Amino acid sequence: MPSKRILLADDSVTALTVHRMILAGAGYELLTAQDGQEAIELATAEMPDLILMDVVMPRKTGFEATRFLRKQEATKSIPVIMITTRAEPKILEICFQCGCNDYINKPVDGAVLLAKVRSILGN
Amino acid sequence: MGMRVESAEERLVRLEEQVELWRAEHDLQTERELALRERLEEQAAGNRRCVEQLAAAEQRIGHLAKLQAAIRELHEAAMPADVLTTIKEIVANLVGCEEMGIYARRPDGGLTLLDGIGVDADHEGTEASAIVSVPLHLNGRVVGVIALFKLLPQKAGLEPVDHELFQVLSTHAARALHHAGLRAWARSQGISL
Repeated sequence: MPSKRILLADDSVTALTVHRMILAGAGYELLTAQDGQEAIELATAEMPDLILMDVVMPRKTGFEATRFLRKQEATKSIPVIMITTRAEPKILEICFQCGCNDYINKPVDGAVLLAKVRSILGN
Repeated sequence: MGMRVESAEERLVRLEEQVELWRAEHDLQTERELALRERLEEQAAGNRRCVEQLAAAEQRIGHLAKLQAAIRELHEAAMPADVLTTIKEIVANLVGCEEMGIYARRPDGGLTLLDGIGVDADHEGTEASAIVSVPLHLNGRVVGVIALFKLLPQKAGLEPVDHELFQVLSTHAARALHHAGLRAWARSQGISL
């Protein structure tokens, strides 16, 4: 079975490195973007099975990028897990209004990350 | 040829024997069912243990990934500003802190704020309000401090992996800053390292 592809969008190189180590170790193929605009371009070109989207990013925030992807026919069904710094209900409400499927709070726990990814990708 | 008619008594005996057979068969089935149930429960307990062990292993892998990423990024940061950014990313993203400062020790013993998140000059040199202060060691001397003032609201407290990250920062961050400083100085002198 071909491995599922996940797009990691985060402006923090350290966070990208950690997420890459955890998910690559679990057999996922990974793409990375360091801002919201790059995430949109990569998602459109590569059609990943899932996107892990940080909220605070340059050029386009995670909220803006997710909203944009949801409006495009080709990308509207790609599941998005938002990675949030703040866990307040107001922020989570915005996450869901943008169309994200789930969220993870920082600091990201490796086991929680894998469980959420598996629950969406079903493997 | 006439067929022998079974007497009522004989029929009763035959039926009783049949009932006995069924009863024995039922007992055997019940016994097998109990044994199967026990095996199922043992397997379910085994599965639960495996799931718990897998979760613990994945959590540990997550922790090790944090430590490895922290060390790698500190050593890959080329210039002093890159090292400071990496320290902030480690403390913000991997520990879960929203207010922190990175301080250098002055010759007079005071502390100078180099960089931080959510801090200004008011925090300079004051560690009284810090949740934790990580000493930056270089050649056996404390050359600076990373002070954490406020954790993210969803972060209940510091965990063992955070203390392991502090250990990494304590031993690797000052060295990374020192090397980046040397590299910057060399570049300013037109020397390529």
